[in-house]
Amino acid sequence: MMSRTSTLFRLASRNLRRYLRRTALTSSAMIVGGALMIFSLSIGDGGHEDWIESGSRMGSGHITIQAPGFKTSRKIEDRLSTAARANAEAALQQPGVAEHVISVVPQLAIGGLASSPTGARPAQIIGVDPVAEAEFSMLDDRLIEGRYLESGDRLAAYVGAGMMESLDLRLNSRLVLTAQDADGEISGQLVRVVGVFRSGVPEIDQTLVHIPLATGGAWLHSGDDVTTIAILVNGSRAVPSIQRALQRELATEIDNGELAVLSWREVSPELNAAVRIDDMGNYIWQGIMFGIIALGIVNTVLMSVMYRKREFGLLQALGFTPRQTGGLVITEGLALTAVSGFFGIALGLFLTWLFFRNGLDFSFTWDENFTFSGVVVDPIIVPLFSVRRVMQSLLFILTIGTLASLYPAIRAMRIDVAEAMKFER
Amino acid sequence: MRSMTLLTVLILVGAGTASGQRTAQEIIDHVDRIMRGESSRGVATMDVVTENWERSMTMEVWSLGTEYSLIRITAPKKEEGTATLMADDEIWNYLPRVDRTIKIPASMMMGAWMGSHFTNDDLVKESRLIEDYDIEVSHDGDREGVRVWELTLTPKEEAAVVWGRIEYQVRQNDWMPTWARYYDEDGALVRTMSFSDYRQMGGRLVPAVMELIPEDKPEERTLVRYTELEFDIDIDENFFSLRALRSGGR
Repeated sequence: MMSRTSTLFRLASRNLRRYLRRTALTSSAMIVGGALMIFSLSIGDGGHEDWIESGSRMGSGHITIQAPGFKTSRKIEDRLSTAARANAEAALQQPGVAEHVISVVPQLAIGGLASSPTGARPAQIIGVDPVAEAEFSMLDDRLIEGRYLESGDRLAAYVGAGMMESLDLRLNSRLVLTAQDADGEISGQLVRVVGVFRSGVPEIDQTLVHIPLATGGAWLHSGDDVTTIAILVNGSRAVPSIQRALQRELATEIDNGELAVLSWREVSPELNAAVRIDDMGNYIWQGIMFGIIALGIVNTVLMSVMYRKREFGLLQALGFTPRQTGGLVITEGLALTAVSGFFGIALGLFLTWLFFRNGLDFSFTWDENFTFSGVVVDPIIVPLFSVRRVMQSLLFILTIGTLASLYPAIRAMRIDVAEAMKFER
Repeated sequence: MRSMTLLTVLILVGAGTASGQRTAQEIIDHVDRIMRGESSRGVATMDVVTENWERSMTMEVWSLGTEYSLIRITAPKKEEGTATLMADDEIWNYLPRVDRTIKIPASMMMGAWMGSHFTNDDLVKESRLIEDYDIEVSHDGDREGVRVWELTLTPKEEAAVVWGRIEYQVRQNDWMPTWARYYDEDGALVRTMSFSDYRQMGGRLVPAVMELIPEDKPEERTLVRYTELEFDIDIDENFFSLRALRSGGR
């Protein structure tokens, strides 16, 4: 059996080399296809990683720990208990989790109202630890006026440009925040604008207000409690495993309904949908591309089978079973696609790597910041390589190769030996 | 409690000896409490004029302390039965056309009420002026032949109020306010509330007409006129229920 398999391979590779021009043409289609596939996948993944990072840094991290009801209620009643918070923070120190964690910030996030003499607007008020948040969030980099919150601040607020405009505020203006406090009473808090940001996302610029956590706690009578622990990890790929690890570690608390460990996919379903839709579009495009490539392969392999009727007839006359004949054709197809797929992916990786340092600049395609569902899309896309994607692509290419060789192989199996061996001239 | 305030006022007026700051506080406290009975019921019409439209509506209003109030629109026909209930720090709206009660989130508190220039917060204001502001008499004398006080209210250091300052003019003979002007922190006038048509209602002297004019749109205004008003009526907390909201207090 072993020797037969190796015979099959020897024969297959000899045949491929015999018809070099045909082989080269077919494999070039494969190589270009493979290269394009790995290129678009890396660019896509790189873009998505950027969206996810941006979304996580604007909001509540790659992974968010909060009370189960908070996601829908966004009320202060659904805050984390002191014990739950301590346990969550202990779980983040566990090996297997700690090494992936880049930053952990506490947030006191509530819906409320911001008012000035001009009027009032609904506001997303977040009490933050100024120092930790500056490291975590992208918002402090989006400063356009004034400064971000600092550790000594008390009656300070970091406000979006949209809200500044609609409430007619300036630096150091009075801003009154109103929200329901921990006792269920509506209470107000005076703050003064110390800094203005423009994130580029209209919803964020119009509603988000950062205030110092201590001010929020005193105002809402919630002490040191927080509603949210936002966790930033090293890359979105680590998220599922860390989420599982945290859920395992905090199983008792989760069962008691004290907290929930959510990934960015659950916290921002719009972003999740956007990533999935974009991926799906990519897959469909590649499906079409490889469909066309597959037809090319079917054509070449089928033609080679037709031309080599006599050869196959001879092989069968010499003792090859139809199954072995078919196997030979499939082996040829597989060998061709494997080699050219490998080179294609290598070429794709190499070409994409050329862009790696700079990223791919798409800024010429749009003037303003392009935003959706709370994410500012960076026009410079740095591709992201992953072993998983390379393996996926290789497998996909091999599958296409096998499928494309299937029909020619069946044709080869059905060759009538007597007919094939006839002299034609 | 209400009569206590009146008594205090009478004594103060009679004696006329109170020191500046104390008098100023008492004046504002009096003004602040004019429309705040322990319990009250009234009928009012509200005319709203904006750049694009005008509307007029009539409503019946019940209140109990500062915690409870119920407002029900009685005219025009289109809005009839629409009601707003404030109880236990929650605001509910009832829309008879779809037969639904809707809980208004806290964030809507400062939204315009019924399209007027009043905010929900104006209607259900809980904070008292004397708690949030330092008050000074800035003028004590004649204005157009009437002896008035003019008072300047500056927010206390950390008071959760948006205004940079409020000025009140109050007539000295009957302690009735004539106008209140709201300024932002730069000293620019933002809105003016004027009071007129002082009359006895429910055994008290009150300004029956209040008109609010936003400074940035001087052609716009909201005018509220009380046609009936009675105080210290016989209602309790149970009156302010969701059931009452749907049935309009009946």
